[in-house]
Amino acid sequence: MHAPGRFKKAFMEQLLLGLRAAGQASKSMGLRERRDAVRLSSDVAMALASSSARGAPPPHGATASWARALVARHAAERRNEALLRRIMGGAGYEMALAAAAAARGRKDARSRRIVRRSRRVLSAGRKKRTASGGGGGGAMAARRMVKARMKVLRTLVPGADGLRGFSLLSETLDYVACLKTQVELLQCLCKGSRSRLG
Amino acid sequence: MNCGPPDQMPQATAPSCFLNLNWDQSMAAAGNGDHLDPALSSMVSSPASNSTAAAASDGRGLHGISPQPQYGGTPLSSPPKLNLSMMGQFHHYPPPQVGGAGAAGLPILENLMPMGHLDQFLADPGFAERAARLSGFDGRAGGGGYGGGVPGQFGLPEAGPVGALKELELGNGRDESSVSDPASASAEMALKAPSDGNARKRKASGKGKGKDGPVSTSAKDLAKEESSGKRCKSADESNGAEDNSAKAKAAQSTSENGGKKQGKDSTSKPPEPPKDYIHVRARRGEATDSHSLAERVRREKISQRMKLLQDLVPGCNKVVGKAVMLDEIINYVQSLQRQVEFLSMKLATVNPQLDFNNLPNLLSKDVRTSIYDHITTFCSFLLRLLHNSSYLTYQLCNQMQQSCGPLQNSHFPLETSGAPMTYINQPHQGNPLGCSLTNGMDNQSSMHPLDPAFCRSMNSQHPFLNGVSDSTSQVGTFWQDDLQSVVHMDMGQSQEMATSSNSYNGSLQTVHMKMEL
Repeated sequence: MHAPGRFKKAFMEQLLLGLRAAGQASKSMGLRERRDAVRLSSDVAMALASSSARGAPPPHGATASWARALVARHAAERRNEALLRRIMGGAGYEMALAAAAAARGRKDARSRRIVRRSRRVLSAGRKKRTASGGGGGGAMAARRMVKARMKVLRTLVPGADGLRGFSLLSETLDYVACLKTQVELLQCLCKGSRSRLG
Repeated sequence: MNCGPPDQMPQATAPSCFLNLNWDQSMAAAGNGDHLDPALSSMVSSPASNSTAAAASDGRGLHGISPQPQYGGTPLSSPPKLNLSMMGQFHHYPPPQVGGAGAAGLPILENLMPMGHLDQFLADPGFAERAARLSGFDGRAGGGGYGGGVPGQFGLPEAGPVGALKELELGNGRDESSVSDPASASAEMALKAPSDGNARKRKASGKGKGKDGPVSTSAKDLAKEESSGKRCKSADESNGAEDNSAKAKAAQSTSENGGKKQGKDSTSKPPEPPKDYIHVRARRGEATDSHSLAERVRREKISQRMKLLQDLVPGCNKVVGKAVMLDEIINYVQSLQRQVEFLSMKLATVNPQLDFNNLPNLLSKDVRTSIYDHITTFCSFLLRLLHNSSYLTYQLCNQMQQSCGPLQNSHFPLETSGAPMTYINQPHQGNPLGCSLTNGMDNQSSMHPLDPAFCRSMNSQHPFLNGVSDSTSQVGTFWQDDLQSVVHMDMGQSQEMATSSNSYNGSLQTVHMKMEL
């Protein structure tokens, strides 16, 4: 991250604005709804702050993928529409919707590609297994474990669905750093609220 | 950012500084420099209980460096803007053997960032990249040339990491094969910031292929008190098969050859001037076809990423091996996500209305309360004194609000008597003044509630206030300076302020108010 301080500051500001918007929007007394509103606003804040802190997105473009996918994930649910509109503005919301639709389209194409690729890999894997023989068995198992864990990671990190090894790790890195910030900021807010009351 | 228009620098500084009550820091000592950045960065340094200890030591260490007067670092001068934000992260680790460049950069650095609060970001990939880059610049005499040359070539933001990387490429050699094409140079620029940094860090770590022990461990020590300059220097002398092939993506399609021998590294070469494409030096005993080289490049990149992730995820240092580390990472991500959910639930219960207007929430509690107590008493005292000049009081309140609460963290229970309050909306629910003002204007959700422009527009609505706008701005400046110094004060000194507030008996004129602190 370019400047963690700046990111944190942008994050916090955005978070407070979003939370205020959430507080106004959701006069609902439901705890779960409020919690979802909080989570949504914090996610949106994280995404926006990270995009801004990153500066101009690098030409390759796939870097802010988790941020966009995160917001798109929230935008996909209809009930968040009002709050999202309020936080990000109408234009931002439209963008998020478009990203969600694109993600869904990409996912279908990707799944088809994955199926095709897996068939190829399977045949290649059989060849490799016969070639490497006994000594390579351990390496094979390790590789399989790694692949399995990468798959799990793909489900965890938003928007990392079609990424291969290296880019997946990059996204994870970014995402982990931002998640840590998010947790810290939320803890700050909690402590502050608590101290105000008590 | 929502902190207000950029030209409102002094006003924006005060609230940010107000927020970043970092008592261990002697930020007042480093009074010059960019206040906004350190304020912002340290502001959000959450209750860094663990880092306060480090901060204390760091402050002392930093004082040792601060007397360095000149700033003659040519390598640092070339990407100045980038350095300014990044170098803030470096003052933490004064490389001892770095010459004037590194140490000279530090006086600026200490202005930029509070010390202890970067602990959580020490392992950041960006941090690692900056550390490596800065040290790289320090470490070599010819680095200045790169600093100067590369930005022109590649554009400023990515100039540093990539330029430093290019240094390490070996341009020529007999058994060398260039892996990437000229187009990949631009594509390489497109690598994300973490990858830039990672590639940079890989320079320090990957060079240790021949001498694995010191360099790889020292690569991890990037986040520790390592002298990065020294490391990069040693890395320089080792083999120089370093690159940043964007062709790795294409190389992913290449078949995996399991039988690569990690032979001895070839003889080292001096760093080559940056070329347009990436050179990879084949290692001794390895196949030299493009596939295996690209393969190796890709593996190096992945291992570097894993190293960065190791730094980020706590407890990953002990495990070796990709699978187990990935396991740890997965657990960590899951736990973080669960924590976010839990914390959001907690926030929703603790604060049902979700109004975070008067939260002094960015500081440690005891410090915060004491400071607020002082400020509150001071302000209420002043307000009582200025009771007769009600409109000035209003201005004061406005300015206070302005300076203290763009993030709505101010917490003044204004004990204004009736007269000033006529010009002020009655604060409800204990909202501070500014928030009550904002509630009326809430339809402008895009504007930040306590924008200085916003406050000024509010001011203009009161005709009798227009005449005192100059004095108000003066007062505002006074307030901001004072608040700034207040927030930078030590605990002991804050006691002085409380006592000095008593000395303002009756001699107060707003425009001539000199806050003695």
